[in-house]
Amino acid sequence: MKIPKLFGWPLFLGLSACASQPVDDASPGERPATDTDEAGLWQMLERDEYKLQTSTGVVRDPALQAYLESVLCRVVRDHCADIRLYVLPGGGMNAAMAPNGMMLVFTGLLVRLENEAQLAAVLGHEAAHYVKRHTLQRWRDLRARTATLQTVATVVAAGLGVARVGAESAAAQGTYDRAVHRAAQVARIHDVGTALIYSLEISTMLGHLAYGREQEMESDELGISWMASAGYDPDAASEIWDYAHLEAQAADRWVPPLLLTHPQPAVREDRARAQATALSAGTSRSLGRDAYLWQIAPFRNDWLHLARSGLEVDVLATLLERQRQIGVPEGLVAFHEGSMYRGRGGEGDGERALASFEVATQQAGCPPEAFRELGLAQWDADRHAEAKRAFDDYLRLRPPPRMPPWSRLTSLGRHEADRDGCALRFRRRGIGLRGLYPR
Amino acid sequence: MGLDYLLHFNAVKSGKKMFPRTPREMGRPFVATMRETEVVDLFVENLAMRGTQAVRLLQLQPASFGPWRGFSFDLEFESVGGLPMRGTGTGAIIADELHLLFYAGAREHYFDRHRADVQAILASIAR
Amino acid sequence: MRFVSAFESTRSRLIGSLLAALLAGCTTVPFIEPGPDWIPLESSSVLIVPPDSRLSRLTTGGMPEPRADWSTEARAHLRDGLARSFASRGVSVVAYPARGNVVPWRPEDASLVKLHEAVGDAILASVVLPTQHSRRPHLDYGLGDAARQLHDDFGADFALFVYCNATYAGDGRVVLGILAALGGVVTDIGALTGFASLVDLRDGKVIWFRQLVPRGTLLGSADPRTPEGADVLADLLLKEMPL
Repeated sequence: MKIPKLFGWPLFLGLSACASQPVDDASPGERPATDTDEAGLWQMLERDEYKLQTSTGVVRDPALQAYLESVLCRVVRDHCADIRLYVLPGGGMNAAMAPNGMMLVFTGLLVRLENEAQLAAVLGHEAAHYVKRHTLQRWRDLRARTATLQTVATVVAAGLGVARVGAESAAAQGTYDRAVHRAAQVARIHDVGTALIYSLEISTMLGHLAYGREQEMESDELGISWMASAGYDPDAASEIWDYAHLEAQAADRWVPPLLLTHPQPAVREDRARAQATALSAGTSRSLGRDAYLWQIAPFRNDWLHLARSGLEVDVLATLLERQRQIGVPEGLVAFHEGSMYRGRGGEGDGERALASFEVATQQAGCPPEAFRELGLAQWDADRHAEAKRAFDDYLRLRPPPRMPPWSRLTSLGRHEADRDGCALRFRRRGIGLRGLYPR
Repeated sequence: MGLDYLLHFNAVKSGKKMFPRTPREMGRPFVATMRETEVVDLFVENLAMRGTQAVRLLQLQPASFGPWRGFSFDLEFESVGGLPMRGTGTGAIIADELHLLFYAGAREHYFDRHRADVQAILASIAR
Repeated sequence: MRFVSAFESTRSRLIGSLLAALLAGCTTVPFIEPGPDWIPLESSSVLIVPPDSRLSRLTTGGMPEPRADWSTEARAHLRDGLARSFASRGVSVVAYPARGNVVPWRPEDASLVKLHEAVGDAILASVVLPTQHSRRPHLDYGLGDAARQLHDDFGADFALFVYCNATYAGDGRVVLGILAALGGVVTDIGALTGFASLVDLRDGKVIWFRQLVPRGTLLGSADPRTPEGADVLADLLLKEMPL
């Protein structure tokens, strides 16, 4: 049996290909040469970016955009012009960086952050992926690993084919001993090959994931050092992971560490904290809490609606508790809590929802639709007179429009109307909506 | 889901997801106590899970669903490929089960083309 | 690649797969053709919308690696090849203003191009069985009133949309492909797919649609990376074009 010899050379070739070349950091304004793998990646992503630019699905608010870009530029400085930031509606705590400089920030992330320093940490982390050319490196890593895998698989397949033809011709010539021997060879190549290929497939996947996690760590580190030199409190980075860890615990969905695309939040938290301690000894740093919350305030209701969809109640409860800690007005938090109970629809949830809506409508920051939900809940509880009063309140706050106000779906891109609707209510009470956050 | 399509949700039971083959960890089920607004929200969530973007609810109103009292709604959205689409749905919750017919087509040219056919299908709904 | 398939191989299969790997030709099949009542214009003009060309190199591991330079060159070569092919049939060609590399269309045509992309996908998806190919004038696909804009802006009677997606095996992939073929296994060593679609700009209808059937690219002559190859490809795409 010559299996070891057969496998020896391709394995060697494949593995040596895995040792990928180091890549220089992208310098400001740099563009890849057109005949490179990097240019191919760029062009592919530019097509995607074009789709984004012609889509109505992007959150396009000039004030918000200007604010986010100002934070981004403060963090990445010279690379500011290389990166284009898009805010996308999406419930998850996500942001992403494309190799061509297209940065995606999802509303589910913005609604969970507490201050500008945390925003700076995220934007710095994503921009670091760009500067470190991580997508290109990941592509090259995957390319090398799959080459090894395919080479081995092909050699096994070719070996099988040859042995099989041998067995067939031996059988055709009537030399049965040889035919039996060849057939046994086929079976052995098959068994050994299968085992080898499966283990290679697994190690290819795990190796590539591990490579990705290393990159995340590298981005964390560069992002934190950038934000610190921009004057932000570097402790903010570890706070994000602290919170992500909370949500992950609430979700109670365990994934083996080896299969994670990103390092575990707890690991990132520890590393970020250690780095922050080293960086911020004896200096005073800014958090930018009020500025951040003020910018997000007009969108928070819509974005909480988006973040809510598809979340399990336990995770959602964590998210809403976080809103309270951030200092989001109780009227808004209680309204979403009520909606959360209604969405679950379990035993006693109707009563819980009603109680939450009652609290919401007594508190500052409640959106007009809280009155509608209160009315509906009261109606269900046969409290018709109260329900009618709540409906009246609702209609007063939001007159029946051609575009019905009852869904959040209508309201992305209609922030001005929302703001006016709430302002009306707060004017009655002598409170300005935006005046609520700074404290 | 391409230029135009018709989705028919027939008797979705309380506690079941609208699309039967939705992975366990994704999305929430239909619940019989849901109001019309919540059913539409649920439906839109399901569309979004399948790559639909930029959904806007244009209208939601009471409507008859065959002999039953139900609701109808109109949506604007973008397909997975970014094509501007228009959609219209009519449904009802009958005996704790959700019935819903949803028609969507490219806003340009296609949506209007089969609208009358969809109206005819809706008119044919009987007990 | 499923190496298990080697078990089904025979000597003839071995030779067959070697041939399949090396003899890569190309052909096109009609999806939509004008019905019998269609009368061509005395003389017609056609606007060549910049072809959507996406070319990649197939890595040793079998993954397509997009190539910006090939894609850009292929678009220009293919456009020239198509213009030449039309001219040789006596159809006058209306030039589309040159734009950027990635997005070659005017901003005002963005939605039309998007719609045509979806129409093309729908036409391709409409065929379930291979026997359904050919002579299907009843397929009613179009761009509706959106096509009017092109007619008004360019004064052309028809517009041609072309999509082309090709992968070319890198050296490592070629070696693997030959090795696999020796063992009786067919490996993906590149493919050329795409379509051409002719839209009547007066009513927006797709009057003619032809698909490039997926074929290997290893030794194919219809290679849009070169002007000569693009000419071959253009002739293939415009085969039996009714104008």
